Amino acid sequence: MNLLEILKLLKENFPQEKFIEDSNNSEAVYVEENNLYSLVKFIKENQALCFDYLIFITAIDYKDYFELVYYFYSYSKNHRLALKVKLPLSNLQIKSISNLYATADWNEREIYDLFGIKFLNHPDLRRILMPEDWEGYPLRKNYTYQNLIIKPD
Amino acid sequence: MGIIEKTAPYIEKLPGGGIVLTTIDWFFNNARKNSIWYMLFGLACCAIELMATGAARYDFDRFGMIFRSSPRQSDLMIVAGTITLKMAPRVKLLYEQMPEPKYVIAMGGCAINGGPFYYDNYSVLKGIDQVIPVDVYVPGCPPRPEALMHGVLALQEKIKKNTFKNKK
Ligand code: SF4
Repeated sequence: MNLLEILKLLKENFPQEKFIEDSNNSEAVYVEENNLYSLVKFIKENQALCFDYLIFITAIDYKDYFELVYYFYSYSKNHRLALKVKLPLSNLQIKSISNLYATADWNEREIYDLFGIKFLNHPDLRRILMPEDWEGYPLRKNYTYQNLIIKPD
Repeated sequence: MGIIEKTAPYIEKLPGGGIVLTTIDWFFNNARKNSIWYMLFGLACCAIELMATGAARYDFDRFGMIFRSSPRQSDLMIVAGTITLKMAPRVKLLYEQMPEPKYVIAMGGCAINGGPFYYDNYSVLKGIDQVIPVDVYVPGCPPRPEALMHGVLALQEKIKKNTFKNKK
């Protein structure tokens, strides 16, 4: 299936969702954060889509909002899809999908560790890379660290 | 005993007997310097060069150096790689588990002062000597096996100067 067919199927099942396409990425669509969990559940369980593999989850800091990117792939159908979610700074949390895909468990911990986005219902949301007592979220654009040695020009 | 070129000046043969006399210093130092067992301690890319040095082409065994995977059997810790702040307490713990006498070689820019991660970096320790004492620094990114060997020879020179008299 190509993206148009996938989108058609999704739109039939989620009439309330707009599925705004991403002009920079032909495989990606933007979705609402509240719908994400049910969408992921749907694309995993639907026989025609059968997205059996979560490639990765990542996050991007755009300063005035954060974006989460979920990449899915289907081994049996050989097609892929990226779901993007915009999170406002005022509400940096989203429902975890780790009970659907085991990959999501550590990916979400990593995003929590480095960006400070909370995943609700995650079984074990702890820091994964940084020391446990670390303060702040290093990959945020406004992150500063007191012992940072700035490179001279 | 290929590495010991000359016999020590203190060795004497007693007439009519097989007993050899030497200083304890010379005896122990030679034993130590010719069997430096180093700990397997690869932290980042420098470890590849450390492995190459240990493998057949460069052959660390010539110096009596064999890697041990337990700190309790090692005399030398070759810190080969980037030490993150999270790793630093573990490095110190392993160092403290090694029996005396123990030596440390800081291999590569990262172990010396953070190397390529010196600027604009929140996660890397700026030099292993902030945590444990270092005997020999081997610069490079990564140092070639020859450079590491040079560091080991320098360490042997240092071990030769050990003496029981001054030891505190
Ligand atoms: S000094 Fe260079 S080669 Fe060695 S660990 Fe650091 S970055 Fe890697």
